[in-house]
Amino acid sequence: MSIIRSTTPPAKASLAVARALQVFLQPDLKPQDERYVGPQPSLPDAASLGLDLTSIDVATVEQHGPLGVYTLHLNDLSGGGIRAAVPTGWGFLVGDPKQGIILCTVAQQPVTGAWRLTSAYYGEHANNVFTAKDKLKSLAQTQTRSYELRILVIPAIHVEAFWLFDRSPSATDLVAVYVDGQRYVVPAGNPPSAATFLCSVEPRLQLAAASARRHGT
Amino acid sequence: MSSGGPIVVVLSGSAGAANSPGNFSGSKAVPVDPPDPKPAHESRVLAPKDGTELVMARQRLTDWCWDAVAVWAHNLLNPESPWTPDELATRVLQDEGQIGESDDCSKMLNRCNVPEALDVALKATGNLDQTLPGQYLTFSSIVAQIKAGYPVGARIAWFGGGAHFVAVDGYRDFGALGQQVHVQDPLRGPGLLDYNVFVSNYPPGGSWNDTYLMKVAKPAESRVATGLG
Repeated sequence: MSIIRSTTPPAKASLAVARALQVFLQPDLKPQDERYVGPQPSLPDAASLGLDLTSIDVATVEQHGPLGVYTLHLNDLSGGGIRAAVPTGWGFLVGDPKQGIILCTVAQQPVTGAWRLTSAYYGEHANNVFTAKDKLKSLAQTQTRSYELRILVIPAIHVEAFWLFDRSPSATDLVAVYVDGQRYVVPAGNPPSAATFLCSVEPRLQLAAASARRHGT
Repeated sequence: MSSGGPIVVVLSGSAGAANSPGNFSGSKAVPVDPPDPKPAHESRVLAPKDGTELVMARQRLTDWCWDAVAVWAHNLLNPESPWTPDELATRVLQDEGQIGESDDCSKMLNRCNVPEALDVALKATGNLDQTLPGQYLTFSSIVAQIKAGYPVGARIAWFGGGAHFVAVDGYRDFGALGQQVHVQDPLRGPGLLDYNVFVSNYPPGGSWNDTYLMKVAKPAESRVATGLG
């Protein structure tokens, strides 16, 4: 039996997601002006996510387990390894996986302290994250040890991963990557420890740190 | 019409703040004049029969965002003379001296997986109109570029170092409810984001630092004329 735990976000964070989705998923919301270089993209609505627009509430958005989002920048890595990552918000997988999933992130505004929806990924990205999260339950390590599940983002090398945070005295955090550069990854086998993971990406981190002023990756 | 890729949507409710985002440093908002009317020789394809042609492909290699953005932009603006990612990378890296003159990236992908500059790649395709270092566009200037049919290249500088290239190819103006931009990201696919969030904290973790205005490549600059076709 899996013993991966989600943590509880601030109530206002979940409420911000629920309220924003109630607005965004309205089929009648139309911009005053809208233009694209190419054809207009199609956007999700409540029905395409298996949701009832009138009943989207905190329970709806927390159904699949909220995830703390932590960001690790190059200048964070010199001290503390993965535990130097900074909390940057919360992630919510919302919807019916048989129909569609939307991955919402919220962040607290620095001045007002208000929680605000910062992104909502719909389509391939959200579905892949949901699938990857689901796979974690079947990993051997998660059968015998309790972990707090977090999202770890390392923007400079395009890595997103599940951070299995170990609160035990002999803490050994694990990292299960689900986005590695241009590839999606489904966690399988034994995810590496955080230390092993950081060693494995060190050459890429060094390359990113040495990148020239005009360059990008 | 559906892209099939991820869509990113943010509703902000940040009325009237489109040109004054906070929470980032190093770059400033600039208005730019609307693009000149296109020359008679320019052939534009604004709405291909199959909309999926306009979705930016995921970058082929880890460090090839510059390649993916430039190939997408060129093939959108000059569909008569398309580049492939490997061809453009070979050209750019040869010109920059990162590989030999006879090297071919399609046969040495690992060695070609290196960061590069978007302006260099767009110059190679003939689609670079202007680079605006340290500057991002005001929402009204984005509107002008899109209405003229030109996407806008953006360098996202990560807060802790490193960078990533994306392109803006659309907008939605909700008036007092806020403004959104449609972003083509070679890693995350197409998406809509609140303008203020995009310039100050995308996706999150970075800010819009440099801008690349685009144009249709003239025949003399196109790859047909280079003999690489």
